[in-house]
Amino acid sequence: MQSDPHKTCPYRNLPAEAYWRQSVAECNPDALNPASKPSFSIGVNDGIATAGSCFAQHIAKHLDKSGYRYLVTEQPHALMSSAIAEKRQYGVFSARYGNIYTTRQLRQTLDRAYGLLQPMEHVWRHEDGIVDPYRPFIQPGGFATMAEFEDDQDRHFAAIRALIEECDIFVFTLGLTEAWLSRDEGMVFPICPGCGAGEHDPKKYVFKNFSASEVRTDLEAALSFIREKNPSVKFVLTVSPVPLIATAADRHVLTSTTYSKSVLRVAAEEVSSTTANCDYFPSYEIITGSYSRGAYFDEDLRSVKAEGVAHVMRCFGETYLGNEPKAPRKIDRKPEKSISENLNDILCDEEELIR
Amino acid sequence: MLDRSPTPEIWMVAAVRCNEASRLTLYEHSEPFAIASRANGEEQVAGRGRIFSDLLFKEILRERLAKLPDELAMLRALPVAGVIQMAPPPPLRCNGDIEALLPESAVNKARELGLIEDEFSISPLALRKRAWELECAVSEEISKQAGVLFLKHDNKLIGPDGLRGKDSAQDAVHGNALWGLALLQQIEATIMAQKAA
Repeated sequence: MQSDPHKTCPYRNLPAEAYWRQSVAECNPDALNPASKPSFSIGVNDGIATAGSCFAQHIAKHLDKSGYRYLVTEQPHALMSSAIAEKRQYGVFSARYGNIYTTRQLRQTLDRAYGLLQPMEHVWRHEDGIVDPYRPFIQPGGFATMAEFEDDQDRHFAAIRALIEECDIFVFTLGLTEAWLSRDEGMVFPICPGCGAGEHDPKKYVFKNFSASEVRTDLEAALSFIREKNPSVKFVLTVSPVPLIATAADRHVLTSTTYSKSVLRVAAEEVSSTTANCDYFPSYEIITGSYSRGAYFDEDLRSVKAEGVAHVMRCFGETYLGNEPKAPRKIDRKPEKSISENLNDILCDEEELIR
Repeated sequence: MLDRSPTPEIWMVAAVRCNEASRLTLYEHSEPFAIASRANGEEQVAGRGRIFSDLLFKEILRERLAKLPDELAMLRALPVAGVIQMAPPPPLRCNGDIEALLPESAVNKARELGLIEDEFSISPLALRKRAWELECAVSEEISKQAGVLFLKHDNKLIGPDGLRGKDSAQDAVHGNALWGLALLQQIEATIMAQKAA
């Protein structure tokens, strides 16, 4: 009979972070950092590009304010005031592509920027202006003329190419698996046509809920494409913790949210583990982990509170930016204003679904 | 005729903030831009470089004229029979005339303000004209909202193209005495028309 039945157990002597009790249940929630050891660090001179869902904007804002080189290659004309430029989403992301919710949309955006994809459906004409179907909310009221639209699009694509080729770090936040596609061309839109822009026509558009393998394939293709243009680029993948605002799948939105986040998380894991210099950063876990007891969500159980964002960014700083780990302290659970209450803070195209 | 009695009625004629189009377009910007407009199904692009729609340019103008409504309201509150806000002066027809009429002090000031580099050029006429038309439209809109009459330029000194010649200009932007006389005649006609109405 063995004296110690656990003597050969491989779970013995693992680092503290491997054990739930020490590193989650009994850890000061405020001090928790579930990020794995990074493959690389980010220096103050590294140019950082951001893209993705609404949550990616938090990373962009934080980097911008923290003295890091947050790359923005699409700039407003000097005649535009900051107020006018902000309304047109300059600086919200590194280029003016708006929310990129799906990995298919990321891949498509890159292909279009490099002239490899030119969809027939390239504008939506509204009574008061011309809307870009692939970034429908970047120009309030739309473009007044085709000349303006085409000029802006050319500049946008040039800005994306510059970004891809110049950035040192590309941070992408995976947001959704659900999307709407054009039946004819298979083009994916950031919103459902007819919800805030465009016109819904079931004969023209079809709902699509991407599978894990599809998300992975698109993500791998997008990252390979970027690396082909910029061999030294490093990637940080995150998954947005923000639940779906609505689902077009015939089931409960909570179930759809679980599916969507699970797929994105799996795809991010598989791609990051098989791609060189590509890390997964656990924004999703920091916000949704049971250790916080839901404290990082606002009363709508969807919007992320400022303190949740601060926690994510603190972990990001500790992991990649060389910041000192925060000294553990009691978490302050007093209600805070939701980030999403301030429209100037975060712009989510997805909210058009329930307006 | 205007009332020229010992206690004549008083009209206020104002030219408040009448220079934004010139500020924005007299000198070609370091990042040149053009203004695109759509009328009667046709698109026209005035200028060269980065394209703004006329809607965006008007938004820029409105922002730069943000204080104009309050300023006109203050004038409107004065004990006068009425207030007339004049349209900004139309641009000069010929870029060469502008260069000839540009005083060195204005060029130095523009350099000081960072509006131009050492080397600079005058914006294309089409852009200057379109910018002026849009400033007139915005200024008229604000004037009407403030209950102020808006005086559009419509006199013999403006050619059929709606622009000014060198003979009515004091410098690259401002009118001379001839221009002033024409304006006075137009102001009188406007007041008379208003009184008749």
